[in-house]
Amino acid sequence: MTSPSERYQKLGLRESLQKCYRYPIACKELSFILREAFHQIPKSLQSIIFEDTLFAFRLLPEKVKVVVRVDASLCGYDRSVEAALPNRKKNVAVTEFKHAMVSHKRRSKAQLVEKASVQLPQDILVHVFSFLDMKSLVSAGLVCWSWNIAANDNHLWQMQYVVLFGSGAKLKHTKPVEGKNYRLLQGTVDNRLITNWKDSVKGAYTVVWLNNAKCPNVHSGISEIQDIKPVTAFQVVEYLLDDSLSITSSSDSDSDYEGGPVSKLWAYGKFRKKRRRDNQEKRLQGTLFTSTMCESCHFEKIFKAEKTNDVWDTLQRAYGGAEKTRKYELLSMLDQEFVANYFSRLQLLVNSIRPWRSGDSTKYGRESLVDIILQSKDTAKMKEFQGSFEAHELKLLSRNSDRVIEEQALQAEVS
Amino acid sequence: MKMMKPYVWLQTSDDSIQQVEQEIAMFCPLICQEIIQKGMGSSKNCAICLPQQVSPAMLSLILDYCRFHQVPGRSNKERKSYDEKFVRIDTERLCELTSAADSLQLKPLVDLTSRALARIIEGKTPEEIRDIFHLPDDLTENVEVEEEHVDDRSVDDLLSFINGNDGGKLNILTILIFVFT
Repeated sequence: MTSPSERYQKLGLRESLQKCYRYPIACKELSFILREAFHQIPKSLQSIIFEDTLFAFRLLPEKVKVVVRVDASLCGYDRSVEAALPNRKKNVAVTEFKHAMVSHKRRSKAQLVEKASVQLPQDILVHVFSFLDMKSLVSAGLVCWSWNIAANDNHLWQMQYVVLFGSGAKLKHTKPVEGKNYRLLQGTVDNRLITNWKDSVKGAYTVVWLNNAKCPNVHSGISEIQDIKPVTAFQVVEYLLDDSLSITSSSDSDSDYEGGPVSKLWAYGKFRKKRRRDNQEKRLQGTLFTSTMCESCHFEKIFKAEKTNDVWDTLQRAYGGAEKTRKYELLSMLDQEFVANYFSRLQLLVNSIRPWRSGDSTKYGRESLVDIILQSKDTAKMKEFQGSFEAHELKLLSRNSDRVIEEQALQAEVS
Repeated sequence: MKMMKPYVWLQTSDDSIQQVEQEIAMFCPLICQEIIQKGMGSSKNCAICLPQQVSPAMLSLILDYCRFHQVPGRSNKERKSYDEKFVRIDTERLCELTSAADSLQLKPLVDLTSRALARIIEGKTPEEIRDIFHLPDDLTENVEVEEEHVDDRSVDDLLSFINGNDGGKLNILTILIFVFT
């Protein structure tokens, strides 16, 4: 049979006392033990229990958060301490208790004053939040419980949606549905049927970010470009977490490209291409950022970053120097995507390019459609390319060939 | 006529009663309703009971606001700059003012203070906001609470555990004492 002191250790009261939510229960147990068992247990254990009692008193001022419960359990506690302990110890305990009570009361009072003044009713919070931009709204939602509820107000998000994508009956909302293969099934939803506006905004996050969360033409801008397919959160997260996603294919082309002879096309407009790609990276990082925001993992870390540049740094740190080449994958065509869609997506990216501080040299990545398009020195030529690509697509659709062949064919045609 | 300026009696949250010019107090829809519909506030004995949120300090602030905007012939620019100065108070008081104005249904002031609060919140991280508003981080705390398992050991289980086997000797009386203390 175990000794009482061993059993007492097993109760783990001391550890419980340190945890805020366990404190009241631990106090209660301790007080029962003091009153009922103190005289029957060995001296060594008595001193341990006494220590714990003092410890509990010392912790008291910190436990203001559970004010009510602590107060209740301590009423009994105080009395049991007095009843059980021998005189000498009792004096020590009583003074400790008084000190604790005084500072506890002082602190809980201070907190009550604070709380009373700062608690705003929900409808006012919603009203306040209606003046916020999206980023601040998300931020406010992370402050505390009541703010979170207020910040998730459906009406607020409807307003956000309208600000970002314009209003009006013509507004159609594309809703990405994540299927088994993370494939995008695109469904058009009548906006009268949309009930959860926050999800709607989330669903369109890619577009949101591409414009740096500020739509240049607030009411007509983006919504005019019809078939923009956002990258799903799934894809992005997969990217971030699963290193193996595109390494095999990209490393091949990498070495190919860097080691092998540079073709005419590659050599042409090299600097510009690099710049553009840098910019595109930044955009994509933006996408990463927003979707991670939606996933809410790593949100805190990323949130602090002001610019996409910082976001990238943070992300890179977080994931231990992620492969840069992997990012290009995001821009590659989705399996089921048509050239027209892809081009509108690309064009949006390219159009939104602004001079950007290109700090780090980029490793040339995977040869993909993006590369081919970006090498063309003139974005106006893109239309031309688009035409030929679309023609190709038709052919390819009938031939049902795989991507490598497609790329080769396209390259051949371009050169 | 000026001598006959009617007054209205208002009682704030701390039970103190104030006398206020009626035309200014009427700016607040709530007070206006009380006066017109219930005929309250005409004397000290039937003072209008203001909502809990309205402390005397807040009432005087609100009345200042009403007093300024009640004067006709002020330019928009003047009003705007007054409003701007008016909300330049610390956050805590701004919150108080917002809920007081809301409880009096004084929409323009609610808008004004809400905008000011939104400006404070804007562009800040959740931690910064929490610091400014002295709000507890109960979002993360809640996760902790969820993990808390309910302690269902009964008191005498606990005692017998401590005392070993002879804990079973505890009679009902002791337990009853617990219950009543």
